[in-house]
Amino acid sequence: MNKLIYVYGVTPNDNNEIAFDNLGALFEYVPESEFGEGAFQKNLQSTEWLTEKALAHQTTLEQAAKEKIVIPFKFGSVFRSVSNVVDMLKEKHQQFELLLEKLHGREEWGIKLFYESTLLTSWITDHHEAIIQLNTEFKNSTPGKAFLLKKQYEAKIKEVVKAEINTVRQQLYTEIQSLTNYFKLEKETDRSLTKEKGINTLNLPILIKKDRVDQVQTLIENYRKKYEERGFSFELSGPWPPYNFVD
Amino acid sequence: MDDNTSLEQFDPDKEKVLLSDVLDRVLNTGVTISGDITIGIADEDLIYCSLRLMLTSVDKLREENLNDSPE
Repeated sequence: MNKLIYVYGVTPNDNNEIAFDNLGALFEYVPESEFGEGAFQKNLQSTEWLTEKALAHQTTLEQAAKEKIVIPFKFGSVFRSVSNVVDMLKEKHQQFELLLEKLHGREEWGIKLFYESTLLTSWITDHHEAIIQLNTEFKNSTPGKAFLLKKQYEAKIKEVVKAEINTVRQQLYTEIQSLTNYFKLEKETDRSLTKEKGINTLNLPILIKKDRVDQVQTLIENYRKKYEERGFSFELSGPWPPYNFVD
Repeated sequence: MDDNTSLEQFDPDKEKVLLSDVLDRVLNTGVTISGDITIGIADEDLIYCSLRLMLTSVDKLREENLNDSPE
């Protein structure tokens, strides 16, 4: 049976079986019947197969990252021969060297901000001074005036909700940037996938020095304490292999 | 389930990470090697779309399995 070489990533050379100079490949032999061109394309159609292999990709990199620096490759980086892998290491030598330097002592973490519209609106209704005042006016007015005030009241709530979301979002974004220069604004997560958490309004992978991770954790904890009752939630995930910082 | 085996430690923080987070990273990011020696994901966007559609149910299934604790 023919074997192909699935490369998970590149590490500093530590007597790796496939290596060039100071770079080593983190790899596994895989059967051509599964990863050969035709078979691979076909297997990709299967969610079960893809899920299993994608998780294995993650687990392998995650384990390796506990012991050494890893430069993660994208899922499905398959090579035909050892010499092809070595050529790739040779060709990208300089790029990988720079990456190893950048990744040294750093980890990727993921920060996400969500808001739950109903909760946020009701918090604002109860706590925002201008809104409370408008509501009192509205309740104490004649039906004719109440009609007009209601429109005004509803518009104001919308405006305040929007402002509140953007304030928290901007503030978090700015504070994170005081802890690291490496961050990446990613597309917000699909709404349907996170409905239990609300709407994702910030998706921010960061690369952070290991000795600063606790500062990030404290920061997020403080945001939770302050903003969770308003309908915001904060997700901090990691450490991840530095997928987002190897371009 | 085998009575003699103890359950793996449950880590609530770990469970927060959805499968979709893993897939987001594994399929979209990381070093992309170009050239004919590699078999990249040819029609990545297309695969990704159809995958996302099915993801919700996969995550849901995982949750149900977790809740469905053995006796």
